[in-house]
Amino acid sequence: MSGDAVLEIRDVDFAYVAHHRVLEAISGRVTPGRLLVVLGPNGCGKTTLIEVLLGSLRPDRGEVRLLGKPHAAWRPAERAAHISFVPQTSSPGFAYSTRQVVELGRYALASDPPAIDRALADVALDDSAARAFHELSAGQRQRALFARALYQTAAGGRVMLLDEPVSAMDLYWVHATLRRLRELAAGGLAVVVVLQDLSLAARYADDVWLLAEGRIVAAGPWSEVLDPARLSSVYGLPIVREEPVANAGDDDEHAEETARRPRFDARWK
Amino acid sequence: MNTVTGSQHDRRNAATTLACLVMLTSFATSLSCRRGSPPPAATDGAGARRIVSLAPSVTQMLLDLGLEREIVGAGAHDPVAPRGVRAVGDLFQIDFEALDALAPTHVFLQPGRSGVPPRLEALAVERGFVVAGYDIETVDDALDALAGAEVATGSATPGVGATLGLDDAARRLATATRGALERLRTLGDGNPVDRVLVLVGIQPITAVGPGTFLDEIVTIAGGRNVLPRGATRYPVLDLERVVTLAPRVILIVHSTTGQMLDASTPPARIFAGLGIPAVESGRVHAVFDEVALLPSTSMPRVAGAIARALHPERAAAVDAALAPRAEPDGSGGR
Amino acid sequence: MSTSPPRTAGSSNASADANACAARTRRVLVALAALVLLAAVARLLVGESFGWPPPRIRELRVLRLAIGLTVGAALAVSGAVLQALLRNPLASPYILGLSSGATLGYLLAGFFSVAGWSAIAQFGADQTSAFVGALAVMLVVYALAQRRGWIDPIAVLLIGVVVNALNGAAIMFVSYVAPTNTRGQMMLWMLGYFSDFATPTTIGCVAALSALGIGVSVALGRAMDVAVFSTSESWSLGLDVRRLRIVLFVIAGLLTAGSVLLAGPIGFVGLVCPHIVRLLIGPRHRPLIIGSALAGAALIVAADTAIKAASTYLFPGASLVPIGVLTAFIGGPVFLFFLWPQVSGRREP
Repeated sequence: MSGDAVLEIRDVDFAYVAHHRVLEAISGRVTPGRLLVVLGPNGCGKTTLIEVLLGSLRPDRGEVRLLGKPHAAWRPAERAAHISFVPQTSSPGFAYSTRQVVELGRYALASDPPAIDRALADVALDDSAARAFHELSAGQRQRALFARALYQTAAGGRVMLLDEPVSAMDLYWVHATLRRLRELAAGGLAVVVVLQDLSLAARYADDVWLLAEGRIVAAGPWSEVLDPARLSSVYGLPIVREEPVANAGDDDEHAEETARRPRFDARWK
Repeated sequence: MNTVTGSQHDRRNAATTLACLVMLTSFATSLSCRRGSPPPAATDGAGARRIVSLAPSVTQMLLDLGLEREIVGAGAHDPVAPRGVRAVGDLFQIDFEALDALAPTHVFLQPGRSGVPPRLEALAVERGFVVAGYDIETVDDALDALAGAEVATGSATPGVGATLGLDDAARRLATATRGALERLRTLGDGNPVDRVLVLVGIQPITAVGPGTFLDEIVTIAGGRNVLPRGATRYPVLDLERVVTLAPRVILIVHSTTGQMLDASTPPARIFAGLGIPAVESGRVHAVFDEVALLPSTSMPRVAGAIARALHPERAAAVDAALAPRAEPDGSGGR
Repeated sequence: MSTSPPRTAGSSNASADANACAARTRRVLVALAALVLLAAVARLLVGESFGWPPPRIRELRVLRLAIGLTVGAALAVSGAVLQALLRNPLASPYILGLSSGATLGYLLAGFFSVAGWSAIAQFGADQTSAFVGALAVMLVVYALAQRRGWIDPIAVLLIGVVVNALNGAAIMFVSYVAPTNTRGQMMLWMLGYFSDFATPTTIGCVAALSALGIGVSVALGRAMDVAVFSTSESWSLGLDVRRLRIVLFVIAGLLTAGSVLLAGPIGFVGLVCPHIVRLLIGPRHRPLIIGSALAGAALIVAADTAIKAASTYLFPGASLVPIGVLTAFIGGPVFLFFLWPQVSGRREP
């Protein structure tokens, strides 16, 4: 792991309702330059974990530190300069335009209109900038929310948290977004992204945290954590690992290293 | 808010809800215990009356006929009912159970547009008591209700007096009341006070329009309403209207101690500084009377109070006009 | 990104659209301001006599105009602020029980009218109690709906609805047990009438307080834009959500309380004006608050003028119609007119 942790979570418990813990004894470090994927079955606490990392949920026990300071010690505007967040969905009750939604990315920071245009262009929504956000398709909305985070983080952000950001996107945008996240990580950003698809996780992650029933059952480099036996036990169905077929005719030397990573698939017996 | 609730949670919720419902029901039942003393003993002989009056106008008449001890039940908001008398209903509904428990001999009410409730009539037939309804809106209505209409209009109801077998006393009372009012009217007819504004409310300013009972009383007392004919019965005015009307006298009538003003606020203060003639000449008066809006045998008293306010220089004459007179047949009137 | 993504159909130049939007907003706000001016002039000219009034009458009309402007602006902004707080375009001061709380306070003061209370102000006890009533509801709703100091919008909405219902029941009860004449006055007041006896000082204080509240709301406009998104989103964008919700709640409460103090409970303005302005210039809150204040002021002053004109010219001698009735008659059709394209164009999904 390179560099000091941007986010540190120490021994955190969290419950929405008393006696019903959603997160238990969570500890870990998020380091810059690495893309961390959070995996786990439904209801295991992935979204809660993201929100606890973000600071919008306060743990019942333990603490979360951003750049060494506990969340409580941060002023909201300062925090926004370092950490950005992409939710899975967003449904504002009012008819904001796509551009207005992206613009809010720098609510607490100095605005930069050309950067808004760039962010919109990056997700190919510059044509739809004036359209109402809620009129976009689900996938387009997710792209707009990503654009907002891009706009916010371009002002010097250190970490980006994403909760299932590609769940509604089409194949092109799934890979375009994850590839962009890899680029950002390579540029020094710490990225934490919740994903459902194991193969996507295998392809793009540097590190993986595997959650089950509120606990981290495994944390570390993707190749260590994504073990078929462990995955099968966590997900409750047989999971097999498939090595990519080497294409003899592949003369593209620039084929990504990540494209050669294994796939994971479920097999009912 | 997504919480997983088990069946145990549901059961606990249901039990709590049920407990709340039971508590609320018993609380509501206990609230229906009424004020007032338990009913007096059964009639102690032929002729003893047990009167229930749901019309405050009639209650006032009963008091003036000396029948206070025979009133066993009244309406809930009756301002003149004797203390401790049981409430058996209000303007909108009758508490039949309470009414029945009192074993009345006579029931008086103000039936309104819907008429005497059939259930009351049925109860009257069953229990053998008399029901009499009077719609008392004007001065004449009140006196007719007391002593019986002079002109029989189809099936005219006998007056309160006739119903109770006190024809003579009722007629004397009606005559005395009308006499006092007429004497007062004669007193004021000479030079009536023009441009009188009568208010029954301050927030918002609510005036008494022509054609209402209070307007009649004011006319009898020697005043003339500043509002023109055709105005609504109780119109709401704004200050600009009041200023434009330029009343010479403003009467603020409280029929009960209410929210409009309290004793410490001189009425003149609220209209100050607007150039209203009544204010400038100090002729803004408050009239407090429990029965100011009640057409009944109390009318002379109310008219007298208003007359004194309108004609302070004639106070003595007003008193004289209202003093009881000897009846032509020699029997001392009220 | 090296390969080109699939394109969707859309409009052209983004910044040109933004400029057009800003220009339209300006035009609408100017038009609304002109409407307010027009209504104000009409209010001064219309009365027992048409035309520029003599000094004393002018004073009276100016006071009524001041009340109308204050109440209209305060109610409309209170509605807009609550809609942002609750993230719900159907929120209004009525929903949270603020108006019914003020009414209850007013009625209770009248019911327990104690000599000596009125020493506070010339017409004081009842109006002060109205103010206190609205604030009390605010505190109760806040206390019940907050968790660890955080206001939860859904909880506020639900508890506000319950408190409103309870207030309504209490109001009915007080009206029932009140002596008949007092009840009549209470019923009338509840329909919404400008207070004839509000002193210039009182009006000035409420106007100043309202102006402060509206000013703070305008300053918080961008914050409100963020706050309509989810709590975690707002948090991540750098908004102090907890503090903002408290401030918005207090502002809405004070604006409503002041308005009830001056004119009794008036409905519809807080719901409709922000809606209409939003349909005209979009949801951004900074111009929305300004526009709502203008629209509300214009609506109330116009309604007051219409009432006076009707009772003087159309039905001489008739009673003054309560203003709450007219705001519904004017606001309803206007609202429908603006909403119709949306409503008629809808299809079931």
